[in-house]
Amino acid sequence: MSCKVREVALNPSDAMDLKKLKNTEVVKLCAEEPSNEAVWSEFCSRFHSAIQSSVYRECSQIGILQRSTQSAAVYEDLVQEVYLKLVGGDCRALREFKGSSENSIYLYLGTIARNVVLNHLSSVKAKKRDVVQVSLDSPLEQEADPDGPSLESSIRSRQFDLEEYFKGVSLRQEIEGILSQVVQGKNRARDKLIVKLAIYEGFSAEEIAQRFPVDLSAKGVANTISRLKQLLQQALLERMMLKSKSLGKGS
Amino acid sequence: MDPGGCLNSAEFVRLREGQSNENERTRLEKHLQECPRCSHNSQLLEWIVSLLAGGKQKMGQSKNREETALCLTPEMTYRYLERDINEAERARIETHLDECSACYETMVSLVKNSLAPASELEKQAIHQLTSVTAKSQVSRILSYVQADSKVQQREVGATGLWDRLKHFLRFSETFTAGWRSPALAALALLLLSIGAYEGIRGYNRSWQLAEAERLLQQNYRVYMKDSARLSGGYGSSGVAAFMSGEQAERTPTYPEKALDLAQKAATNGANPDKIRQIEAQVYLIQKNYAKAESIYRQLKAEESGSASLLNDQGVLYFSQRDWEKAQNAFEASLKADPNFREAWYNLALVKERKGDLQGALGALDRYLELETDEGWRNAAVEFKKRLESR
Repeated sequence: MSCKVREVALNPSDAMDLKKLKNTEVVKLCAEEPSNEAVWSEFCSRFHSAIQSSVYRECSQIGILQRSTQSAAVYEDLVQEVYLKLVGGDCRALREFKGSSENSIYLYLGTIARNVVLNHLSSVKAKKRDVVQVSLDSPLEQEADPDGPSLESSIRSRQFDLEEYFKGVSLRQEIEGILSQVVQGKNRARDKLIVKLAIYEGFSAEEIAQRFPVDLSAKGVANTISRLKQLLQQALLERMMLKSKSLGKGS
Repeated sequence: MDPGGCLNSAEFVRLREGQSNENERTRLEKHLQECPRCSHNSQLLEWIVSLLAGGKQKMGQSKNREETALCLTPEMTYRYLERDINEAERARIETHLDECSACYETMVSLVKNSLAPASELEKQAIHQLTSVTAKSQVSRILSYVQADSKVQQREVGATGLWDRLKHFLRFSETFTAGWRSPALAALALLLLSIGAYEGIRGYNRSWQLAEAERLLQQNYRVYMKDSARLSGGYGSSGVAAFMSGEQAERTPTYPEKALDLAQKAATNGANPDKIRQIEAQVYLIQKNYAKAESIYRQLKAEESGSASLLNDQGVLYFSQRDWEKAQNAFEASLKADPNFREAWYNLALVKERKGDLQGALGALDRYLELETDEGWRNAAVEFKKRLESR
């Protein structure tokens, strides 16, 4: 391919027209006219901050920026790497984009950002693999639990006599065990996914219907959540009541 | 309800959710007030509800966190979320998401990271990490596009030649042994033809480029007191009298000819960087600063580490009377090549503009050490005299 540079004057009317385009149309234009400055201006005005925040969040989750002494340089390199992926191979990534909705591009850019950050992490790990240094003077620090306090500590703080019941078992494992028993039918996996998204992540029924491929209306999702939540409450209560009873008898 | 009248778990949940009928509700509430065990269990239910509303941070870890061969790649996760899969794939993915908490969490974080707008705190953190704005990003993208275009051109060229050879060789393989000698002879002939063709093409493009440069460097006439020196062999014969009041440039046509030659060289596969640099010089000569600036942006002059590109970008800023930027560019050029004489000369010019006469004299002295062309040396000596007389 030859990418002939086309000088495009960005006059106000062009800019207005570009503003009217859908996200998918802007992406398509960038792929078709990669040297068109005006089109990229529009792309950046819409998506630059989304790329920045996706990279930032991915880095924060993995802890790349905290570990690096040159956080700003690493971060900037990763953001630029996302753009290089977009324009590389004659804008292949942009040409291959097939958005089903206006939000699709954000998900697409987020996926590229994730790949870029993970690749960076792999290369950093590969470099470090040969030079792992362990202090012989100080013991290894225990890693913080990424999923927060255990259920046992929650129970203890609430002064319920149920430590024995939950010993070694997290509430999440308990929930998943119950869901495996109570959710049945053809859409079993989907329904479990819906209730997990609601309970673990705090997504509303509307958000789940909109952002995940569950093929249900917001109302349908809300009904599923409500039904399964009640079943969960009931099963958890039943188990606790039984345990409570047996502890009472024991003492 | 058990024989003692105590509530079972379903009744507790129904009562709490307001799904019991009037009679049942009255009876259950009365029992709750009288029975300490049911009252305790009612508290347990409230606690369960609050735990379930607390999010996964308060729920501990899930069992399955190990990566398996079935785990989803980011692309597969994206395709799932975009509904870009068939029913069977979807069912398989949902089953896997149910079993593998790692993939589940990866998918959720992708959705959260991509779709949620940045919070104020995140914006502040990002602002501290980078100063690249959406606007300034555009020029970077254009330079990436330009660089990628060069890579693509090289790949297409290499593939084209290889394909021709591969095709020919495959053809010869199918022939019987008796045909091998003619096939080899034909291959040699073809290689000779390709060599001759490439040689002529190479000669053409280097001649065209050289001619474009010659046209510019021999014809461009400047007032030295007004113009900074472009990179390359611009002849001292092109320098107008120092304090001459006469217009040095008169409706020149040679820049168009040079531009035309450079573009022809481009079609013959000449070095695109070199062509763009010549184009930029033409635009500078024509005082079309916007186009020249656009080219330097695309060539990523500031980060190129090329002394000549940086010098020419400095000439652009000098022409726009942006002394600060011009000085930075000339200094960057000298950092890339401390013996780049045009940049020393230009640095002297810009320092003089900024009123730094000592700095200008220092730069001129360094320039005079490096310059061997008599005409340019004389012009610099004149310039130096003028500075010293102030």
